[in-house]
Amino acid sequence: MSTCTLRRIRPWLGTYVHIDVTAANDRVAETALHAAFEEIAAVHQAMSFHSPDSDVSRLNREAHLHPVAVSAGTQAVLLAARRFAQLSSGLFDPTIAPALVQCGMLPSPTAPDADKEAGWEDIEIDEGGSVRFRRPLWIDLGGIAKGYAVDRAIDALEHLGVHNACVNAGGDLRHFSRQGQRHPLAVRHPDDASRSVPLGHIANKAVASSGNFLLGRNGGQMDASPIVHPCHGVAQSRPRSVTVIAGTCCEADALTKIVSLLGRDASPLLVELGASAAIIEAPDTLQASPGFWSALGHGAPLGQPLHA
Amino acid sequence: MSKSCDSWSTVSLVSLASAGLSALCPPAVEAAQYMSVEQAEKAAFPDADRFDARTLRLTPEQLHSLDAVASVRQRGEVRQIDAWAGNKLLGTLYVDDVLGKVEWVTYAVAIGADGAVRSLEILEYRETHGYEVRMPSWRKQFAGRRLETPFHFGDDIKNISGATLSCSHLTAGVQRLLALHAQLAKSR
Repeated sequence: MSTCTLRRIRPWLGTYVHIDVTAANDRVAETALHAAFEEIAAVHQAMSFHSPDSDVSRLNREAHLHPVAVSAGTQAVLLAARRFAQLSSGLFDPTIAPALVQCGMLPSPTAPDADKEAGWEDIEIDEGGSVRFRRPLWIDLGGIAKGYAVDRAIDALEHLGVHNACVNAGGDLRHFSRQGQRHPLAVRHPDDASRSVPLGHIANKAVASSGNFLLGRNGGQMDASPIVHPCHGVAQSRPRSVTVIAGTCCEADALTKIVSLLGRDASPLLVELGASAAIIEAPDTLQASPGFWSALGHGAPLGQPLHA
Repeated sequence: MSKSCDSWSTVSLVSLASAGLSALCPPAVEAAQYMSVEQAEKAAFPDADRFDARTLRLTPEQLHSLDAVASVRQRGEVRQIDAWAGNKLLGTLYVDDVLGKVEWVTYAVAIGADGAVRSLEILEYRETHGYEVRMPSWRKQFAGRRLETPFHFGDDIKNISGATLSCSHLTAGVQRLLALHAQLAKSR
């Protein structure tokens, strides 16, 4: 049986999006790739903080004045963001953009100043697809939209009948196989990003990582991380990196932020969502949650049990 | 045993690296199979029956003037490929290289006859790294290796989860090509 494997990279979501597809023939593979990139482009266009025409920019300009109609995708991501805010008692917060703007990680939007007291509870999402803010605030879906875009792309590839696929948006990745194929997984070494540390294999799972060591930022920002504590501001010395394995990339993406802030205290939430995580701490240790190594195909945890 | 399954575990990265897991996860070393220029031509202009290609060598003055549009290091040798259907010009494909954090990224931008971007494809991408570019010693160590395994670095990115690498240099490259296209259109 002949198959066709295609790989494409395009710049979307502020990073490089890689898609690998194996399908019965090149026509199916090309059609599926096209559809997957269309999904990613749609998420980019709707949820970019940088583009003035995006749903996010329109919300930040107008939603405190009147309800603003948004795309189904934006609505889904806002609902997911609210769910993670609730699950994490507000640690995951899509309204921290002012802190990121202040330290130069996001550009200043053309929008009225955000109310300092405003938070995620001030976002009202109507079932009909319109959104209203109770106070002026700036949302930024950067903590979750990339994972959602990966999920949408995988859904499209699956729907169009590909055999195997992997979508990687700058380290937020999801694998799909209907043939029992496994996908090798490595994480970057936080001290030397040119090296990667192999961890095992995933199959039909999503992975996301957050780290403050490879941001490509200039000068004084190198120590800062885009992980912002809702109460304490921009984090300075969080774990070097956090990797989460979950069923969907949206969940994995959101959970990296929560695990970065909560550390091992995120365990109940990981269990609730059927996810697992690893925390890499300086200088050289990887702490894995229960289930992390089995999600990577290992029969038993690697290393030693860690007692609290 | 069951106890260790219920609790967090800890392992050193050094022991992970030497645990034989690399045999499970071999770095992919096959050549990068993104797109050829011919594939990019056909994808961007499927109705074309003829492609007319030339190489533009940008002068230092041209490169400097494009810096005002967007600043990024551009190799300076641009392939300009006109797509024709009969005697009708459908548009132009530009193949260019910009410097990312470490390596050149080869990309193709298709601009329609209306002057709007129709597609953007990356043809060659070798980059997995970010911050090390600041360190000259890091760059030096690849001087020889790149020849032996030219695509090794870009290839294993599909299985690496890590922090986001920005693509802003590519965005700058596209802006420069659009400006170049407009300059050239005036002189045609």
